[in-house]
Amino acid sequence: MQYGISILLSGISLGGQYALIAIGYTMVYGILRLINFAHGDVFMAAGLIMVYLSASLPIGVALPLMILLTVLLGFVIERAAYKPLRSAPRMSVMISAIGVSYLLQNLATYITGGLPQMYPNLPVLSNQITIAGTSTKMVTVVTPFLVVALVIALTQLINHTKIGTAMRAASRDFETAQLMGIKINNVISFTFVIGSLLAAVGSALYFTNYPSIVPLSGSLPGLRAFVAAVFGGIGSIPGAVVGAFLIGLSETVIKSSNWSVFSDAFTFALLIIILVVKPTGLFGEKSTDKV
Amino acid sequence: MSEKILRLENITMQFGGVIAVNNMNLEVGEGEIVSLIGPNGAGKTTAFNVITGVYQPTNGAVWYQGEKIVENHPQGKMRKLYKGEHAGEYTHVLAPTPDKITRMGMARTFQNIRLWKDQTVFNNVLTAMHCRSTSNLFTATFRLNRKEETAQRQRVAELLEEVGLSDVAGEKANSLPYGKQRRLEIARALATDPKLLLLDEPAAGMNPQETDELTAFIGEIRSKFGLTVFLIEHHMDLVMDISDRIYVLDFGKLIADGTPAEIQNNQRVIDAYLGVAEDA
Amino acid sequence: MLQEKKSKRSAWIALVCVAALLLLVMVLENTMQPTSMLFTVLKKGAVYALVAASLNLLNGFTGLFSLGQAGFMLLGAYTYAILTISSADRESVYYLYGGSAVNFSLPELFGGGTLGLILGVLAALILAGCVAAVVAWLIGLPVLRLKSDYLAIATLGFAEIIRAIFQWDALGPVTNGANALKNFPTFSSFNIENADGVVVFRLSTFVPFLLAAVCIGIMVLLINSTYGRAFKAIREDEVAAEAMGINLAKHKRMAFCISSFFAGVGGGMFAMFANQAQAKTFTTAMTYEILLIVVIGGIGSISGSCIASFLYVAASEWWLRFLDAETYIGSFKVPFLRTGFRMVVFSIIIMVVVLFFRRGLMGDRELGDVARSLRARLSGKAKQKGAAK
Repeated sequence: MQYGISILLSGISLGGQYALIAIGYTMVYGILRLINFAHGDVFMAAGLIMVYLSASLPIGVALPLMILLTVLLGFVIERAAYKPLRSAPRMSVMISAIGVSYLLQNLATYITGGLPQMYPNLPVLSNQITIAGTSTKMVTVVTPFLVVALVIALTQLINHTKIGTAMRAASRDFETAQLMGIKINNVISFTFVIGSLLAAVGSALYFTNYPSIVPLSGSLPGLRAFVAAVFGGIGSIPGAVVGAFLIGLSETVIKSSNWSVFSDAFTFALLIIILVVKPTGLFGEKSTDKV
Repeated sequence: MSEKILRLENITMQFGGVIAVNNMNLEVGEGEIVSLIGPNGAGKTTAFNVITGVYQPTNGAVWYQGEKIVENHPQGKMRKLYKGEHAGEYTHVLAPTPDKITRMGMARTFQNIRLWKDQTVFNNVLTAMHCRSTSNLFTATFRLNRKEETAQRQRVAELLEEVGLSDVAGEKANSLPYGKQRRLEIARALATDPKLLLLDEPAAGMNPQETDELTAFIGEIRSKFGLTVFLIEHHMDLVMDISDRIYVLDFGKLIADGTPAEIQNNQRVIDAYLGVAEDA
Repeated sequence: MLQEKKSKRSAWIALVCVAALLLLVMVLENTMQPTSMLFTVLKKGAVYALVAASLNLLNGFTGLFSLGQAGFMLLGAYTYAILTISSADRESVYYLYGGSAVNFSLPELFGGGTLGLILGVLAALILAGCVAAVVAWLIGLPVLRLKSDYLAIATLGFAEIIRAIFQWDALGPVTNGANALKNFPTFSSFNIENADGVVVFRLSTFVPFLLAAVCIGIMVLLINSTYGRAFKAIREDEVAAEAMGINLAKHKRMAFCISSFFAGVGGGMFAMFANQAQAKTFTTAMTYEILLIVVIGGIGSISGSCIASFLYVAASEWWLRFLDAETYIGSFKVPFLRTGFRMVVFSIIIMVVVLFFRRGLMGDRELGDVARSLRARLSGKAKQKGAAK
């Protein structure tokens, strides 16, 4: 019973952390139709930035600064690697995304010297607490609430502000939105800013549960979050959140069973099944090709 | 009744709650040139897409040379949503993919030209012959099909000669002027060895002179290749000049059919095109 | 008509060039120090050229964006290794699982000796390709209906699933679990030794070159055949291809299986190169590496893929090695140079190619096209000169 509760708790918490990454994927895909392969690595970079900042600054300063730098990183990546390819075929942009991911990983290896970096203890989040007889870190409890709050804020932003309306228009029809006078580059940059911001918050929550970061720490959570986004219906924010919680839960359950070797394989199998059976996911909209 | 080369039987195409083609019945006889006209958005291209297998109709059947090739009835969600006629008359599902239909002997062109843009004119036509090629992967790779390959190349050269494109055979398709691209698309369709040629607005974007040339060209290839031609067009000069019969489509429904002279004097057609006074 | 004659002539020229290249490799190998880095680069480059060409067949010529190449290489590598480990060594390789479930070795089945080695290795490589192709066929049934990026992510997923399955303990007696498979014939096994075991004639670089050349040659023939034209038609406009009677499902499956076949053969050759086969080598990062080679060489150019493979391998294994070593000029320490810097420089170069030289080295042209246009330009100039006189 206790064991069950602890799995449930950590599953929900992991799911929340994936949700924050998944939103970044789903928003970018919604507008640019691009699988931003580098997003997982931005998430990893956020963790590393935190490691280095906290070494010389108090946490209270380091945390906001880390979020700011991650946002800047996301913004720069979009401007440098995706914007020049706006009119290029989709395959080129995707290759560029793979290239950025490769670059970030190699850069991280270079800077860290390939050694695992200790993630700092964050006040409150790292504290141990006991719920229903199971001991866990505070972050496990905080994550779901924080995620829900951020998602509500984000939906408000998208549904009730000018930039939100522009984002919705752009995801509906890129070219027409442009013709209607929407500054598409600003909208896209803004999307990347929000995505990186959430990834930065997510990384603080995620890495608190792990002792250290390596350059490849971002790629698997990134892929899982992407699967979550597809599962929920790519382009849909509530979909990404629901998908992420499901993926997080199933991952923790499998990892605690005898089949832990297959936890990643399971995630991918799930992805393929969704793509084949219901490519639009749980909440996605159908699109049709015109002849 | 002699068997028609193409017959649409109670074809209805419904997208969600919108009926794009409503209970369409039409026939195209062997050797005829038949036109389908109608205002924009009347459902002409949708009808073409149903015939060529791009869309599966919601209800109805398509017959080709006396054989039923497409059939469908409202299924799934459509069962409740379906608003058209003849529900329940069809029970089977026949949904060949476009390539199968082409291999049966129907070839089409597209409203917005769809050539293989980066290939040469020669290769565009040569590639279209692939569907008639008898060589398998092994014989093709190891060049055991020389004879066929040579024959195909010869045939491409002849075809290009006949449509007047031999001088640009080595150019890339997208470097051709618009009128020639349309011609190439027809040549490419001819390379699949069709009996029935479906032309989707072949004169779109052409000036009067080019349109005249095209009119003559369509007549020419019909007699040369023994074709039947079914076309969608907005240029009334071309339609009236060339057609043996005309069908008129408005809001998804056929409202008239007959010879060009009959259509020109049909009040319903004039209303459909010019609007009726009552809502003015 | 004319075109055909021309293509026949250029085919002969290409054949002669490849033969000369093979001969050159053989000569170099027997005159230079065998420990030279050059040979490592050449061997690995040949293997990568084959795999890159196979990926190009799919991505560049058929327009199917697949990221599963490492998975198919893994299948090939394991098939090759499992079938060729000598029976004497099986006990020690599979010691964790108390011996192997497969108890024959193809080179021995073919009677051992030189002939047995050649036939056994060839048969194992072909089977390696077949296993990859069969799996590709199965995977293709569901995923080939997916569009561009969804297809990419689904094939990437399958590659990861394959890797997980091969590391699964329960399959240990066949796959040796997460441990490496070793002691099978490698490229060096083809060196000719005299009675005392001293190498008298080296063929360890020639063999991968020959194998890669034959495989790539077959791919080039395929691309220039009527099927290749159909593939290109699918790449450029699926709707038009289908309307012209090309069965999309059939041709996509065909391209996918053929590409996987050669990736499988390439995987077997990679095992021969590395002297071992281990699932953890064949990660998504490897697929990315190959994809980047294809991009650098030019999507849709087989010769581009080949050239880029050698450049890529040479740069990463050899020419840029100095970037990883701390260097002092006098007492001045050159900044930045330390472990990992090579890969940073490398990824920056790749980003530059992706962003600013989008067509890669060759675009979609082949070496022959380049030579032809060069010659045309030269003779044009000569004519001009003649006219000026």
